[in-house]
Amino acid sequence: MTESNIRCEPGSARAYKRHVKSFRPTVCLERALLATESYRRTESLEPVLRRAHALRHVLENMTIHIHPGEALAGNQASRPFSAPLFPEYAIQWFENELDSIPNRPIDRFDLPEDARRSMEPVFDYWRGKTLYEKAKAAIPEVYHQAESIKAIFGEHLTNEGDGHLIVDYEMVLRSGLSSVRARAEIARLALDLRDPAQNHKRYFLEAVEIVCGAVESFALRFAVEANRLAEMESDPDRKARLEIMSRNCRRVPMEPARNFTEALQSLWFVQLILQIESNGHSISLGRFDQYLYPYFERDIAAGALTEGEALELVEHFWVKLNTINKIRPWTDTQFLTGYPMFQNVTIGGQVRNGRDAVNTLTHVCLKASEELMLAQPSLSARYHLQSSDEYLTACMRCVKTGIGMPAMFNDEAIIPSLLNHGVDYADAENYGLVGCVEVAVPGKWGYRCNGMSYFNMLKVYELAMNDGVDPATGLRLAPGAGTLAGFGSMSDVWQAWRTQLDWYTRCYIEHDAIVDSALETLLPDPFCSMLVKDCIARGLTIKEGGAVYDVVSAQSIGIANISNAMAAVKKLCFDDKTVSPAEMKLAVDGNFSGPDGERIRRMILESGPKYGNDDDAVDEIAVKLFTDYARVLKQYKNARWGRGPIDCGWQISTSTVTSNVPFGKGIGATTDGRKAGESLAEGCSPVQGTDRSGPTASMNTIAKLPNILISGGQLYNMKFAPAVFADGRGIAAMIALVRAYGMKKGWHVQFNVVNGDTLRDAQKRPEKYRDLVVRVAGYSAYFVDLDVVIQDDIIRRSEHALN
Amino acid sequence: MGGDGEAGFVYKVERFCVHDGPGIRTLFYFRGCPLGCLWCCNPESRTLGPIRGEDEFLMWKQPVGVQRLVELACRDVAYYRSSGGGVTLTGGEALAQPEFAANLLRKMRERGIHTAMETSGHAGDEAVETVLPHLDMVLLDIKHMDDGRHKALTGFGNARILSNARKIHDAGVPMTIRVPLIPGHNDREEDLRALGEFVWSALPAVKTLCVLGYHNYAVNKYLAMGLDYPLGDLPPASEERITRAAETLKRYVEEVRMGG
Repeated sequence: MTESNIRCEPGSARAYKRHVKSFRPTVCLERALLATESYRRTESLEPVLRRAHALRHVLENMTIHIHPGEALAGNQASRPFSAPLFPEYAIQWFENELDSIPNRPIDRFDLPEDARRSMEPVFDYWRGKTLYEKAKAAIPEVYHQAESIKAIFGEHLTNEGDGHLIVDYEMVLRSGLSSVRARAEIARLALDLRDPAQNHKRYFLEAVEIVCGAVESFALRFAVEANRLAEMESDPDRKARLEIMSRNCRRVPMEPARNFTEALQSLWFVQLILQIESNGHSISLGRFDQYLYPYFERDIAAGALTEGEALELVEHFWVKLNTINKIRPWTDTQFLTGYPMFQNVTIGGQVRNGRDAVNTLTHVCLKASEELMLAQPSLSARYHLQSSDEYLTACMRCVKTGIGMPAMFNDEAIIPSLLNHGVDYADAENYGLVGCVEVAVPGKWGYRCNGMSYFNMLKVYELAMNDGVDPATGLRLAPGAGTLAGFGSMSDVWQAWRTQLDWYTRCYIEHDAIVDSALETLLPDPFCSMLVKDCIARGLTIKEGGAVYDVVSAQSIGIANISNAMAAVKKLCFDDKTVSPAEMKLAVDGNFSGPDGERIRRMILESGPKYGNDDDAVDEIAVKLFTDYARVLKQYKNARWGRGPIDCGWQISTSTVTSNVPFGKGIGATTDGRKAGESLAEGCSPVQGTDRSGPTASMNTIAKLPNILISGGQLYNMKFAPAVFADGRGIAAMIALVRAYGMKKGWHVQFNVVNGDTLRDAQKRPEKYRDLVVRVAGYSAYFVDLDVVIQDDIIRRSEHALN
Repeated sequence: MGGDGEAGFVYKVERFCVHDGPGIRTLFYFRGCPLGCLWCCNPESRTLGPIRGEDEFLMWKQPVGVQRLVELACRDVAYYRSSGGGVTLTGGEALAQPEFAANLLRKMRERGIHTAMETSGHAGDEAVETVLPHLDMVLLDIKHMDDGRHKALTGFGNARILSNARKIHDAGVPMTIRVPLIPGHNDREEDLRALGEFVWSALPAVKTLCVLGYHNYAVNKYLAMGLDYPLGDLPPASEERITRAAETLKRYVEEVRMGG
């Protein structure tokens, strides 16, 4: 029997989408139970082998299901949109929160009956053994304190896998996993086991071989199940489809893909299993329209597939991405609301020294997102100076639907930023987007190009103005340099700022390095590592230094607020001298209460243009903040330094996710007029509602920043009313905006296109707006699923209208 | 006003406009206008003296230097380039400050920025001659072909306006004619046909007419300024009415647009 495509009729994927969307988010206990069973039996094995055996046990025994109308087989948990549990990272939180999970205000999950009783053996086994407990024990008290005052948040690093990467999908399609197994075996046999370091590599390579076998069995289970269903199926089309699916599952991902459907099926197995092995998120697909194109092109030319059928298959793949789910502890959830998985798909850009990469499949991907309007995948469109009107128009047409995708990424800033980290040009040109707005070279980069700790820069500013003392707790961790009341000039302000910045930067970097060590030892990912160059060649997991490149970043929040805060102090206290530093300090200490406080707050708000209005005075402060911070980070290396990968540095990222809300709660009033507890600005975007000079002015502000240095992702969110996209003229204006931003070396821009009235209505009547997907901060989520504070945040972000 | 034209009265600068000339444009709203159109939606522009009402209508109450405006306009050069945009003088009436307008436009042109002007056309020959050489494009309103009706609607007859329309046309400056459609005041079939006839015979190079349906978004401005709203509760022009007007006018020009 020759290979053939699964040829779906139009609407097939949409029907499947409706089926998938009918499932409420639940927690699935299977993985936890199975993994624990395996761990009980592997006490004497090395950690990497225990992981491999656990994965095998899960893949061989978890419930598998093929739903009616599916074109691609493979499930993460016992139901679609059901979140598995990963007790090996952390499980005490689940034990503690179990009863409240179904009643969470946002991001709630249903639980199976008797969940607590079923999980008792899991809770018992893992007590004292989890990453969370070990990392917490290893982290010195001072870091816990820094977290307690909300200067940093690194909790998520201790209770989940790393994720945030793009594995070598292209290799899997081209050569299959059997080639990986073969390479691992050859590497293993070449080791000299008398050398402890080489012997250590053996465990990883053995683990790879075990995992390959497990994946083979897993795919075969689906082949058998599809065959079983085919035999029972009376509808001839459906029967034929199941038979093809069965054959595909027998072949991929172990063998090379031979056509478009096999390629997608192979891709899906990899994407899926990465998220069964580990709960690290932002597992991103890289340049989907590039590596799949040869299969697409061949099939179309041979008449084995039409473009419409290819669109259906891509849509099926998109829907599958939405069957993946993750449950986080409540603390983490507030930083990442909306069930986000951040599975990022990159389209467009350049290939082979500047040639435009856009092809028919690029447009198919855009169409798929436009038609389905789902939260996954995060669609990222790369563009460059020679991008065509046709491509940019197709992008804007998709943006017009309001799902906030694609986000636009500028090759002209991003490629140079990678070269700045020692990346080979061909690799830099081949970059893909990961998670929200960060970049990596597909198949060659380590974990967490972004995704390390969250860094509350506005908190650091508050501490700097208060002699290093947290007003809420009285805790002083970094040495003080005076309080605002005693400052005589802006250089005192900058000096105090630098003192706190230096200390807290080092703090989170040390914290993260300690957690990295724990993760490296306890929970290596053999399946993930085997798919990243050069892990097998070096015999090292990603965490041990197996990747070709390894650069990480933390998420830094609040620079827009600090720019406004410093600008106000400069103008009022030191230039005009209409408010003394002591008066200013008193006002923020009192949260702007009382007539004096209110007066001073008014003066601050009217003291001059805010960041985001193309005013050099305040914008230059932001430029200095970023430039200084980049210089500070240059001193540091991550935990892979000296072990193989290139660079091993730290970079800046302003990818907020939703941390601007919980972080805001931990800061008192600040000299930008912000009251205690109020949310921070997100990304590098202006503070909500303060960009009053239109989109060109706002964009000009962002363009002044040293974006090439913000290589962990410079996140810029803009909101437009739907009227802007209503006609050709408006769309042409949006395209011109994007092009100009490209010329100005902006990094990223994403557009939220929904008017305030619609969103306010959605708050009042969520049942009418279940479908409404909006852009949060680097990812899209269902508006009605978001916490009301985030909802208000999105509404408040300046709505730019066409004049 | 300053005779040398180095400064003038501008009450607002708006960036990212796409309905007043091609591409993305920066608009300069000039203060002062000789006319008093009943439907004017920028009443704050119509006097050089102090205006009662909310300050937010008026960015600048003192004359602004040309240099300041040039500097502001140049900030969006990248967007003009990527969109085929530029600057547009509007208001108010830019021709009421001809030296100032000409200075500003000349400096824009020197920087390679496309220049446009929206105007009522109600100005002296000298004013038009001063400004015209520095314009890449004109958007001119024609409100009524009947001199008497025109006076009732705007305070002045239309002879000067029609003569200036010819002057601008004959100078070879690309022009778009805008037709504010005020139901019950200038929208009879014969009014529109007369207008179309004029454009077709006297302004043959004009390719585009824009029909701007009356709207009453400005009511609040009048109230805030303590003024009566001249058109009372006249309802906005319906889409159907605008379409019919466009149909009539289509016989006289290549393209009739509805809206800017």
